[in-house]
Formats: sequence, structure tokens, C-alpha cells
Amino acid sequence: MADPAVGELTPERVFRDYAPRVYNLARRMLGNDADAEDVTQDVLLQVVRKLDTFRGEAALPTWLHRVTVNAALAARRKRARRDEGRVADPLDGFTEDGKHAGFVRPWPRLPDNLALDREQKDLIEQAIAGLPEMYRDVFVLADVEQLPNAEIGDMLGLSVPAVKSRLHRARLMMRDALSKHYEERLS
Amino acid sequence: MSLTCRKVAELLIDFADGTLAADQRALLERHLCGCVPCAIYMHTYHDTIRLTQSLPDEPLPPEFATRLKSMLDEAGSPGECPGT
Repeated sequence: MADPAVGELTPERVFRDYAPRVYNLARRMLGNDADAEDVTQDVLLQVVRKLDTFRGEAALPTWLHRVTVNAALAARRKRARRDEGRVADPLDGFTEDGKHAGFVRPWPRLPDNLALDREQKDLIEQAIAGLPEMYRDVFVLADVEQLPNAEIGDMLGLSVPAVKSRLHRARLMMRDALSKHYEERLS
Repeated sequence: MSLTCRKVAELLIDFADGTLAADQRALLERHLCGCVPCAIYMHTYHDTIRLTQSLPDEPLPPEFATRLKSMLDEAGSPGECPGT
């Protein structure tokens, strides 16, 4: 959530500049549109009710990330969904002596100026939604929002090595999920 | 000393963010030169990061956008008493 030149904040500006970011972060963490709408509404109402506090406040994007993450985690606890372990561990795809257990096929070369089409966007969003929650949180904050690992650790109460470990697993799971599609495109 | 393919996969995050120690990096690069599956695995790992970083934000669903905008306008209007 980069900071769009902070100036006079109005409800209109909060809606225009921050609603899509908060909504998309919540949607990707929760994997559910209705819960994301509730979180977006709660977070932005907090901002608008405290506009005086935030006028000229350059730290608003950071604050928004933190509050959105906390609200999404709370919504998830409320929902009490448990989906850990639904996805196979990518590091199980190796033999006992550490070799690749199956064929590793290449993907088509991605263009330098990457513009995703609808099919690719949907594929990536579905793969993110399929990640177990403990990996999804870190992945969304690190690779979609592109926040530093230390900041993610602060938000989620994790050490930096724990953030990196979860991020790596998540990337490997994403790679496996996307492989099915991109390998087919080459064949 | 050489690395297994599994160990290469485990080290990819440090290789990608440039924090891999020099000696490990040399071992990994040597392995990649001689192992086509690992070279492909590394490329597709990088492609996964690139694809995800290219993911744009979706617009709000129109009905929700209308409802939210009106709610924020109302909450930010001068007559609003917070908490009421």
C-alpha cells in the first residue's frame, strides 16, 4: 500500500485511494468476498471517524495495513475455518536421496512487460485462495503487497526467519499450483 | 561437497533475495549448471514471484462500492456524533 501523496483527507479520498487496497488485501487473506467487504467497511469507517487524527498523517498506509491485517485475522477467528494441510508440501516432491521425484517441466517465457489477462489473474487468485492460511497471510503481504519481512513479522507476531520459511513454502506451493497451467500452455 | 536437488529447492528463497552465503551460492550455481530440472525449477520459482507481483488490485464490486461510499460520506459528515 504505497502512500498516495498524503494531503487533506476526506471521506471521498479515503474511498477512492484506499478502499480497493484494503478490500483486495482482505479478500486475498480471507479468500472470501463477503468477509472482505465486512473488513473493508470496518477499517474505512475507523479511518473516516478519525479523520482529524489522520490529517496530514504520512503513516496512514502503514496503519491501514496493520489494521486490515488485524481485522482479517479477527474475521477468520470468528469464522473458525481450519484448512491447514489441504495442500501437499512441495518439499515432499523429492525422493529420499534428495532428487526430483517427477519431471520438472518448463513454462513459456514470460514477457518483460508482464500484463496478466483475465485467465491468468483468476488462476493466480485461485492459487492464493488455495494456500493454507498460515502461508497465505505471509505470501499476500510479502509478494502481493511487497512489504519487508520485518514489517510482516511485526504484524503477524513472527520472527523474520519464520516469515521467510512460510513465504518460501507458500511460493513453492504457488509454483506447483501454477505449473499445471503454464506447463500445459507450453505443450 | 555438493547439494541435493531438495537442498537447492530449500535455498531458493535466500538465492532469490541475495542473502545466500557466498560458499552456498557457489555450490548452488554449480548444481544448477549441471541439473536441468533444478534450473527449470529455479526459473519457475522466479516466474511465480514475477506473476504474483504483477497481480493488479481488482475494483470493488459495484454494489458494495456504492454502499461503502455512502456509508463513509455519512460517517464523515459534520453532524455525525461518533459512536451513535
